[in-house]
Amino acid sequence: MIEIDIREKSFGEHDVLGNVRLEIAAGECMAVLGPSGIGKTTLLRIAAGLEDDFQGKVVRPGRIAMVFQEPTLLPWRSAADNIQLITNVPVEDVKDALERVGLTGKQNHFPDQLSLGQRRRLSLARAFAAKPDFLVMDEPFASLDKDLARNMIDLTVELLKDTQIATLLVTHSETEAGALATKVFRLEGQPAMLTPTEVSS
Amino acid sequence: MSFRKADPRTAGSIRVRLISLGLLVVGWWAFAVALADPEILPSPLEIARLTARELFNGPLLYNLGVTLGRVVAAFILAMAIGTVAGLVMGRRKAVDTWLDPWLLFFLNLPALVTIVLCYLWIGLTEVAAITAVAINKIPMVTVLIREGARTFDPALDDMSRIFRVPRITRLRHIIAPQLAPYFAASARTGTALIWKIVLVVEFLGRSNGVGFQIHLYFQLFDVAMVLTYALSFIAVMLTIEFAILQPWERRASRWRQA
Repeated sequence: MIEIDIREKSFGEHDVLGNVRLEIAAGECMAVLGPSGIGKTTLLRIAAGLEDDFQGKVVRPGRIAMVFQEPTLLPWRSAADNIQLITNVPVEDVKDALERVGLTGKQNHFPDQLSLGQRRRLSLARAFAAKPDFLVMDEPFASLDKDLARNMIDLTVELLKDTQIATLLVTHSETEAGALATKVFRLEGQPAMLTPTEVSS
Repeated sequence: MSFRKADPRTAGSIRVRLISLGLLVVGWWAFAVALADPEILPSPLEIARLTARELFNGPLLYNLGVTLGRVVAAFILAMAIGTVAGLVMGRRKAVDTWLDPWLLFFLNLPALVTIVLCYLWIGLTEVAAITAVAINKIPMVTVLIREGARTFDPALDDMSRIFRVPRITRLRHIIAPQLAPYFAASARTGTALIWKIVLVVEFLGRSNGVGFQIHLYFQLFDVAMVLTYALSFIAVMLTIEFAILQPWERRASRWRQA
């Protein structure tokens, strides 16, 4: 169980997050919707442990993986190395991880030799190869065209199926939230707080 | 992916460089012929003859080795200290604020002053010679590596923290490749600067090495031998540049052309 209990987070005089409480059970996917600049990424960075200058407490497991807004790959290493070096999984698992996201045969390609869609898949493959207990996704399908985004959402649903991964998805897209999440919240106000919301899946 | 093809652009560029170098030798030869005074400017052929004589029957090889040893020792020392200092200053704002005035001071300290002070304080020893050269080079390495550290991609930092990438893997596969172009640039400017300072250090306070030999033949007003020793060492340094530094730099930035 991931427990996020933020009382306050501010940058200087500017209060970004107010009282934010969120609990994510194993196998559950929570989505947080909100416009740009509302504090979604700050919430996510706190949840992931990248930001510890806040008032409150977060209980999270040891194994965390993240899918970033940009693929955030090592451009100087091959696709296979990008998984193996970062997640430290055995070589045979790397092959499987690439296969699951449709990148069979691309193990020796450098990220710059892959299309944006393929780089996103590689980033997804890396996250799942790490076998996380907690998966954090920061606008993972932003800047993709509609078809490619749909394709990536389906792939993520497929990868999450039958796992016990607790997932926190931050997005501004109701479609993404509806397709992936079991519960959806909206981050709004000043300072921002969470309110449950319904979106069509 | 592992095979490599000869790049026609590299081959073409090597040809142009060789022709350019050839033209320099031809120009020198023409000038020497026009001057017709071998005591002021001997011909390339005469220098080649003297080089062969010093190489096979003289102390050229020994002195080249001694100077090269000092260059390598000062280079390793300067790169090691400069890299650590540059990394820390580039990554820690507070340290940078504290150490930046020192860096400016040492950047503006003339090489000659450092050399003289090192000889006065430490004595006319090998340690003083290498320390003096390293002190001259460290600030430049620090500045370049600091620039490199400042350009690190923060997203890769976040990624490695999230995935708990072990420190050694992070250093080798995330930090080092980002630093490689800056490291290569400081290594190349480093060797060029270091060997020139090593010659001055030898000129002023050592009893062997290419700088000492140049000092010796300077006192005898022997232009031909000064050129013989100077050009031999330039040849050694150019070989290192083309055989080691440039291929290494190309390899380090191979992924950029992928």
